Amino acid sequence: MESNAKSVRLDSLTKVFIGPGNQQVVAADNVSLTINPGDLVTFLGPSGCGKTTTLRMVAGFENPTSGRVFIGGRDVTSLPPNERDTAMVFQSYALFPHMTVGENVAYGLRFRNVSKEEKEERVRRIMELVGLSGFESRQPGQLSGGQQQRVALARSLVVEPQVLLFDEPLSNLDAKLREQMREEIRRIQTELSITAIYVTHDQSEAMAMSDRIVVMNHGRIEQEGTPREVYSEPGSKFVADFIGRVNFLPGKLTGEADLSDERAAEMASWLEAGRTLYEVLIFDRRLLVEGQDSLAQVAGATSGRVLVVCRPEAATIAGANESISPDAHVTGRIVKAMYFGSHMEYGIVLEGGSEFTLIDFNPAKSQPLSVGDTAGLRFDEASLHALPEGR
Amino acid sequence: MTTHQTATDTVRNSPKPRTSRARDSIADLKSLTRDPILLTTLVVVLLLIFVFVLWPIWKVLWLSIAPKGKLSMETYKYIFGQRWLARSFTNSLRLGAIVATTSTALGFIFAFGLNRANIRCQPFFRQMALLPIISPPFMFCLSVILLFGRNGLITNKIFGMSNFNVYGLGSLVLVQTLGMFPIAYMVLDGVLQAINADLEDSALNLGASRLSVFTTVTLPLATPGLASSWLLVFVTSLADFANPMVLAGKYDVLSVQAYLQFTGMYNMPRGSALAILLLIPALTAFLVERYWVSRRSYVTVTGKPSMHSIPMVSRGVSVFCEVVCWITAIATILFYSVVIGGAFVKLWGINWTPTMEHFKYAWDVGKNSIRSTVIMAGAATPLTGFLAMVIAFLIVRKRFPGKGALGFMAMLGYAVPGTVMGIGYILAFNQPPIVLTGTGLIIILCFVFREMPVGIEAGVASLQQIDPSIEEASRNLGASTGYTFRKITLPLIKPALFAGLSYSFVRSMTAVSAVIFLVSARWNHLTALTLAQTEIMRLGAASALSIFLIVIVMVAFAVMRLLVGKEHRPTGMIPR
Repeated sequence: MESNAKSVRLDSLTKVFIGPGNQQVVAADNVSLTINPGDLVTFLGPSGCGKTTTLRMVAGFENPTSGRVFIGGRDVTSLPPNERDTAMVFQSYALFPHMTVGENVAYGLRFRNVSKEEKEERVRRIMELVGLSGFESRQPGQLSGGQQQRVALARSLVVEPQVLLFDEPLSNLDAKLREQMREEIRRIQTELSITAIYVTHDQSEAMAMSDRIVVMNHGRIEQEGTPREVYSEPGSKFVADFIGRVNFLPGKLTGEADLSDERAAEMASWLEAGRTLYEVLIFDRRLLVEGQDSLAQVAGATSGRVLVVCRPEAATIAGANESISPDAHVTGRIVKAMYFGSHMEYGIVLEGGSEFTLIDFNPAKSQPLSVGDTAGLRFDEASLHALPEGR
Repeated sequence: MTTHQTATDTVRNSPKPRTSRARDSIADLKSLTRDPILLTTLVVVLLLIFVFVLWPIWKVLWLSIAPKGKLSMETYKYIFGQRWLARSFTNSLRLGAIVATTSTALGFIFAFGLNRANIRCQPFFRQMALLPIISPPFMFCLSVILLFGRNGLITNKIFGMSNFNVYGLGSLVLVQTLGMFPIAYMVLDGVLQAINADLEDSALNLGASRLSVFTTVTLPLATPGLASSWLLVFVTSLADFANPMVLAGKYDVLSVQAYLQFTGMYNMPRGSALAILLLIPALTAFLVERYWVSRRSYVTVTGKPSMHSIPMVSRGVSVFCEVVCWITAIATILFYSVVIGGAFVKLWGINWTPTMEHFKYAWDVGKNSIRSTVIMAGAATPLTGFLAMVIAFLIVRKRFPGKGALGFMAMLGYAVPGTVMGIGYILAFNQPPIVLTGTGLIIILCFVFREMPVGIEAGVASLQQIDPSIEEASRNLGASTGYTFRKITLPLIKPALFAGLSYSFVRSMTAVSAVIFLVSARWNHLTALTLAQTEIMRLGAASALSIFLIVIVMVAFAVMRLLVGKEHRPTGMIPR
């Protein structure tokens, strides 16, 4: 199949709804974004964050209050939905219940000057691609949820759209099928290299499928980046909290790391552009933590106080009770110990009283601790990330 | 009225965020100009409603307040100065109030018996409660005369009374109650089904007796429904023309007086004023029902009726409900059989020889009317259906300024008594620019705009069942608005469409109050002919004509059912 991939550019898209009592609800607030051809970009955020509204503005179902939408460099802001070359997979699948599966899939080709032979050929190929060959004459109601999902996908793919849109397509499926379908969608999307926008509130879905993730909150883009960037270098407390599990540790920034130190120099060499290695006091220990170049300046306003993001897997147990290792950065009392097979999850109350969640992978290799034990904790400095306080 | 209540609810509860006047309207207007088909449709619909609903009503009002072309209240002064005219106003209200009360009581007993009291023969009673809806007008009047009249089977033959006066308030209450309690039943059946059985179960569980459960839970929850039902029957009774025309005797009511003044005495301003006096309470009751009572409903329609596993009433109550249901059912059957019997005997009460001569006579005088009635109702039905679905679609799916007003105006045809519409059509279309009086078209148009509300409500109810993203998917894949409506929306609402259509066909076949003003020698209506036969006491012929009507209606129902075909269940679920 010939790739028809186009870029998508959103230019200061804003959508204001008038709610009850004439209240203005800003569903999308100055959303600007460029999506490269062939990329799968996820809009991720809690419900009401504006991700679906933004998607529907790309499809043309909502008129932006201001701002413009470009597909393949062409301004489509004032085009009705049927004249934009997008294809959407709906949360409810939206299969036409009075048509067969085959008629559903071929529906979009009715409007695309396609000969009868080509139409049949395209439907046949796409049905093969989604693994539903032979289902053409069934009614949608006779299919399982997962199969209906594939029909919806096939119906969108067969028109070879410039942009493929997904509105929480997997939320009606059970957990297992969801994982299977997200792999399949990703496989097909890469295979056909179609530009795709995918709306979800499920962060693991976003992590698993996306080239890039756009995290949204209150109608605004909080952060945009690769899955790795949004996870390990969250730009705000909201992003850190929304994606994955997280512990926030209070820290005090004392200055940039001394790069004449060999260890600091090596750590700093791994940093991406725009990032600096700092010295941060955490529980009175001097640790090396990366952060934005501007962090030192921002933190100056709060006399150096920063928030250190520490994922549950970024700390390890360093001895317990009488045998706490001198390497430990901090000690705490275990208040929760849960065994999950692949890992052990601990809740540890640290000095100062905050509870820290720690995940210990492969618990079989060590002696598990139990509630009441005192444990030493060691942070993996390379995995820590500092944010300005209050963000 | 089959679809009336449930559908009104859905229109009312349709999610429409209150929009800010200026800003949103401008945005809506902008999107209208982007969609020329929508814009054109909207303009055409508004124009039609304006010309065929508002304009006639305005003509009636204008003639009544400006009889000589200048504003003057003299007509109203005259009416209220004449006891015999003024009395028709109070009589109408009294009749309406009595019938609304009796019908609501009877309807509640039926609905309660069928939903809570576990009475026997439920399918039979459900059928019997709906049968009167398709009955031709005059049907129950004929029965009452045949049973209780001068030569009545019961009064004369059984009790030997020779001067029993069947005409008056009592008979009217009887026939109207029997004819209109189905409205109450349908409203209350819906309400009782929607009351979650868990609520009553939990009251029982908390220690309430069955009587307390009824008085503290069931009845309070059903109260808005009772009020709705009362008001709807009240409006229907006020607007009724057929029954009082035949049975009222000296009990003058507005609809009949308006007709007599307008067509009998050619006093058009006075007829118009009486019609307006009829319109005021009818419209008020309708508005109160629609915008006040229904807003007070606690009942949330979940779509899955819950069932009680144990009966919620004592044996005595259950028996009472069942007895009432039996009496009503037997009365209905008796009334039907009497009419059928009346059509087959030579002279009711005097000569019981079986004969077909009434049918022969009825066919001779009626075949032209039958043909024109079927043609007119048959032409009006698809027009009604199509227009209703378009308007329902606009109301449910589209955003445009003045949507609430459109919905209201489209519904007016239902609230406005037929007498007002009939007079309005005569006044509005007997002079240029639109001259229609004496044509079949005027009757067809009257049918379309009177029956449209029922279709709209059915359409709105079924559209709300359809996930909007199905239509969005079609647009997204490249279909225009019009194509999407024809190929996606219309097929999906077909079952509701046909249900609405068959009902509007029945209403057109049995219409009297408006049509009576509009019929002409060439375009007569079966009901007008039946009325004429009843008035000259050719009861056998009138009965035969009623039977013709029932047969036509039954055949039409059967044909509709064949046409509907199978229903498409939406797949997947409607999100949120």
